[in-house]
Amino acid sequence: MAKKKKAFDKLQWIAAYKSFVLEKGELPATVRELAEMAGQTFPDFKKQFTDLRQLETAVIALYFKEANDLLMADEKFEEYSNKEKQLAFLYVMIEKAGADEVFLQEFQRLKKTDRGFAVRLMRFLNRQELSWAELSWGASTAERVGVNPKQAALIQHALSTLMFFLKDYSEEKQDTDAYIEKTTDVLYRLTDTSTVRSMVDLGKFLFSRRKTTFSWE
Amino acid sequence: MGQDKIAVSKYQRAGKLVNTGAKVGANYMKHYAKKLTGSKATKQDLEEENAKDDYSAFSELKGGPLKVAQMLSMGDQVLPKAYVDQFALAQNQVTPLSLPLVRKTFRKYFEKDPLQLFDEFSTEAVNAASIGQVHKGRKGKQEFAIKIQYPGVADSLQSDLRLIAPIATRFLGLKKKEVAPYFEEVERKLMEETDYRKELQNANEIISGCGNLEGIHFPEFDPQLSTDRIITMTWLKGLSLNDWLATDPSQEDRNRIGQLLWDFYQHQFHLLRVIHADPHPGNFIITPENELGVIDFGCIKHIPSDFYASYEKLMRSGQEQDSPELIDALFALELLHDGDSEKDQATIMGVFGSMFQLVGQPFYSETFDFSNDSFFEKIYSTGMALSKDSSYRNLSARGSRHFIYFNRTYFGLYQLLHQLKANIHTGQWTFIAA
Ligand SMILES: Nc1ncnc2c1ncn2[C@@H]1O[C@H](COP(=O)(O)OP(=O)(O)O)[C@@H](O)[C@H]1O
Ligand SMILES: [Mg+2]
Repeated sequence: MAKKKKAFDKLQWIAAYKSFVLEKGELPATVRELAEMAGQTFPDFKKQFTDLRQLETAVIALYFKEANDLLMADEKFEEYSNKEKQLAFLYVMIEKAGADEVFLQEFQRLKKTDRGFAVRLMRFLNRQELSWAELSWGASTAERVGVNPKQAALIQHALSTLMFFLKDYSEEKQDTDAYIEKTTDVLYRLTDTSTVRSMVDLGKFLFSRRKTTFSWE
Repeated sequence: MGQDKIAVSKYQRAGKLVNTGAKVGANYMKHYAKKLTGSKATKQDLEEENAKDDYSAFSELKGGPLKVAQMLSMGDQVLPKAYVDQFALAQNQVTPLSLPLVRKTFRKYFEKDPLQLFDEFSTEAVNAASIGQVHKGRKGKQEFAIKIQYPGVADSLQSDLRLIAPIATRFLGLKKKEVAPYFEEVERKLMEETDYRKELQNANEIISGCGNLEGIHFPEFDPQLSTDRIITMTWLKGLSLNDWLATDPSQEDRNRIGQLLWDFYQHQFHLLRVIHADPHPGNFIITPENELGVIDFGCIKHIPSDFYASYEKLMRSGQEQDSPELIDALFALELLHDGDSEKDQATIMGVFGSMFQLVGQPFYSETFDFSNDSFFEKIYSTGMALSKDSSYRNLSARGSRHFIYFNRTYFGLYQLLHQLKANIHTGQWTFIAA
């Protein structure tokens, strides 16, 4: 007589999802398939997540949350400049995610074509964490999907870092560190408002002259 | 814009000395000079264009090219000036390591935050290093210099070098096979410089052999807080050589520092047979007591005993043209090749004779005054004349690969002594091992 396991909490479902992917080399197609392997039921799942998509978002969001919690507990964090906060976040997030590298390799391989994933992650994390995020660019997309553009920018940057990390074959993944340093530096330079203002100014100017200046007619 | 325009500033001329001198030993640079003499304006333009193109490629790479640039910046005859200018530009473009990365690197290697290991730790770098940066720390009363390497440098250096070698070879019209050993020597040394553990070993090797030299100070290294990418050592108080010179020190003090430098190098070469191969003003610190502090053991050069023996022979017989001993030494040092025509041999002997007389002067007199501008101008003009001499230019690349770092060291030393305007005792070392 198999005794039914206690109903999982969110973290346990996340762990179950990772084991499923690692063991089967594929994503669970249905909640029942996952629940069965975990010794859980469909209603157990529903108590924690609405669907598999939400769970898989939570899997990745957890790295963000863990990193954020660690930083909040670090007394140095408040003294950091915005740029240093961003850097520190990326380093800690990659450290957390790095411990799950094998899972993430599989996950990324299987999830490559899911274009909506980043937006779901942004929505999932919206309002919860990362309220310190300061850098923003390309606000329009973020606003369209109803998330805070500053957090969206950070999440995009972090996801790109994660992608880089997964394909980084350098010794001790030192290139990922270089990627974090260099991209953060560039992003902060690019979003230096004075630079942006002059770029916009130039852009407007050129646009207004486009007919006369750049035409041979 | 002609290439032969004589440089106006004294230091610029002193800079040229480095590679002019290098010609005495290793003619591997001859081919570069060859390219320099076709001094048409359009050619300079073309070089600038090429260098820019290359620069944009290099600037995307990590710290590697900085080291290469330093190496190549030995002078503008090594690479055309435009090329070197672009390399110099690359040097200023690297962003410093952020504090979060410094902390992360510490936690990774030592499982502790810098502030758990030091009572104070500078949040920003206090000095730039070529492939890293230096922070200042304090434990109790003792101050420390902590050198931290940029991420990914070691990994990318090799591929950067693979990129540079063919560009340089093609751009300068060199024969790949002839110059390969020289590129290999540089590549090997540069790779060594990315391993900070090796630097610690190097430092130990030199310091243990020089520890009891009077008036010379070294940092003490902390192996516990050092890894392949971090070096922790005691902070040497004082001013870098350039900053010290800017305080207008007395002739007596400059002579003293010059003598310490000279003796330090002679001691290493003749007795240790291994030399600190980066005599650059940033690598010497003048202590408040006006003594010589030596830092940066990233690049040291071991002198193989057969090279030393031949060099010794050369020094003994160099002033007697055509002596069998001299010819022997020139062959052993690969300055003469078996396949050389008589004309080639005569060219080499001629060049060697005149350059040796000149550059070897300090070794053949009891004292030498390095403030002597005409000495350096003479070397420079002889080098310029040589680079235009067609029989010289047509020779194949030659000279033992060991000359690269040996010459770099000696001419770096000459240059330092010139900057110091030092008048020092030089002669007593010449035949020490004879
Ligand atoms: N022990 C030290 N004491 C004082 N200053 C130091 C010390 N080590 C390094 N520095 C400073 O940092 C700079 C770079 O260090 P260095 O070891 O020369 O790096 P690199 O090998 O890249 O040239 C030096 O020029 C010097 O100004
Ligand atoms: Mg140095």
